[in-house]
Amino acid sequence: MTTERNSVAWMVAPMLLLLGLVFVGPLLWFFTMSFGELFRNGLPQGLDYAAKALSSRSAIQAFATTLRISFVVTLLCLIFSYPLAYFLTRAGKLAFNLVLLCVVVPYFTSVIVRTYAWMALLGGKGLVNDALITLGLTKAPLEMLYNEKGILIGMTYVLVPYTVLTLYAAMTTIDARLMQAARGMGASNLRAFWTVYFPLSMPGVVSGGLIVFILSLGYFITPALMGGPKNVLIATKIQHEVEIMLNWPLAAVLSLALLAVTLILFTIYIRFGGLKSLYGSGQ
Amino acid sequence: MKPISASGEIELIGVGKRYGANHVVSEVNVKIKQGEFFSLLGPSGSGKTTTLMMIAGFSSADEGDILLGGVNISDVQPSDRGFGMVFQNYALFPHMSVAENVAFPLKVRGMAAAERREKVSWALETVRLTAFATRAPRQLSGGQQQRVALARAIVYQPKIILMDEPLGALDKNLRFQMQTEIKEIQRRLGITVIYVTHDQEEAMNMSDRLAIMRDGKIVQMGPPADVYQHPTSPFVARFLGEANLLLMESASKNMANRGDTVFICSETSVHPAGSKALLFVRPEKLRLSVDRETCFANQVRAKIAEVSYLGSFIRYGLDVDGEPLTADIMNLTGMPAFALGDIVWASWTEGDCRLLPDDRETSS
Repeated sequence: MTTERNSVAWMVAPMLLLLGLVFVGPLLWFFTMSFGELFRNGLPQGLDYAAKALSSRSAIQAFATTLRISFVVTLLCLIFSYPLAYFLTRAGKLAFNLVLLCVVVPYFTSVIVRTYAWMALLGGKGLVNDALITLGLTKAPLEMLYNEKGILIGMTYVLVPYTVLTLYAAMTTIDARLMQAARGMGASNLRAFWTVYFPLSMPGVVSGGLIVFILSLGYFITPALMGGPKNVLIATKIQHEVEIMLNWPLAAVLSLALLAVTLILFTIYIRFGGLKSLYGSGQ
Repeated sequence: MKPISASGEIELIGVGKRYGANHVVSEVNVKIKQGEFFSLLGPSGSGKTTTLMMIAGFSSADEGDILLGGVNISDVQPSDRGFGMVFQNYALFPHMSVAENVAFPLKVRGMAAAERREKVSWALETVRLTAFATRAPRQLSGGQQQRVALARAIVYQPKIILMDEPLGALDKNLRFQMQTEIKEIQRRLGITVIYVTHDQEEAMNMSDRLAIMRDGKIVQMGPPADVYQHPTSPFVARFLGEANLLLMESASKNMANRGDTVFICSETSVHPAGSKALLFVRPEKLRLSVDRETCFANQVRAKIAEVSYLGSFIRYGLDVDGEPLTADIMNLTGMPAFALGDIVWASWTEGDCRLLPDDRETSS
């Protein structure tokens, strides 16, 4: 028993070491440096500064924008994924593999590559606008880049696989005979769906939505590349404070606030079955 | 969304189902009366569940018509057929309480809350589950879940309930108890039940009439006692309980011989005279005796090759010059017991045996 546990400990040791060195270490170092600076003139003054930093207009605006965009992205992901995941539970082998491939392959492609691809498509002289103008659907090119639309399109695309997989996993645990039972007892297809299928798929909706929301909160590359100068998200602001303004204490306070929100949401996510729900082994 | 008919009488005329060139159900003709308990019995793949699904409307009939009280319902949606249904593994809604499950068919029909509550409590009382109304289905035992499914099927007082192997997941003792309970409720409410099962005892215990299916066709239909005592094929004889099938060398309608031994049987229409035949007799119809004077009309000399003590009866495996024969003898006081190797006379009356066509080459 103990030897078995020991060998398991040895197996995870390299991973823990790596995580400690490249993730926890730098994080601690960053916070130590920043808070050292922040509390240089004593604790009360430091706290005062943190409170001011968090209640500044630009910080509040960045948080508000982040929350709003995360919320909309989550909603869009769920709306696009639900029918797709439902289709996957019904599809034949070939269709299933094909659709799953389309969902998963981009997931393994570099985010930067994908984001630049979108930029090429959505730009003023991009493929989408060209097509729309040729078809006569619009005269002037639509502005789909360097604004909030761009951020929403890019992030939804990047995060959709998470909701598709989570929803699919949740849907496969729903007994198809329940729908049949509902119809046999007099319910129309639509009624059977809303009263039986949809409530039973809720755990997937909640955990899929939560993971996308959590990931959206700290999203950086896509909004930085596809958003405009007005769309300041919290991650963009932190990067700005660190690299341009060199105001590490402010960056640290903002990071800590973001970390806190993320951890709270993550706790709720774990309650809903957590990462297991991504792979279908959870209930 | 009213059920199109409130009739309890259903008729299948030439109903069939194909998947490609494969006929999974064909030529099913049956008329089920109001208040009848009718079972479709057969091995897996015999088409009994497909037949039930066609009656329910989940599967369309490629051939023939299904009439409900004389009205053709072949094109009616399952939700509009107005049947009660009990599914395999119950299909209870896990996110609803027991009471909500039972109320579902009423809610779908737009019944007012007060009336709904009344009906739900009536249904739960009928299945003796009143105390469990607020529980979740997963908190109940298998038997209790089964009763919830039953309550949900009877709650809107349909004239017909369809049941698809409803007791398949229960253990043997509980199954028998539930059979009695379902049968009792069915009789009390006067509902027509169409019941699918692969369990012969279950079908015999519950049914007013049963149909035995094989390869998508009904091979025999009738009251259980009738089908049990007078099978028209070796398949039915073997499927419904234990059967002895002795190969005869030549046979007429009611006489056959094996070597020098001649057997006299009750007449059947199924066996063409002259060719080879199988003599059918149930094991419990056999009498074993040492003394030839106490024998019935048909007799064979046999050696006891196997003895199984099964409590209420003893099963003897007999050897009739190489051919096996089984005799079930009631374990009554004063009955002689036989031992391995004993030579006995096995005998039976002419009313208990019949001649059936030989199917040994065609079936395995």
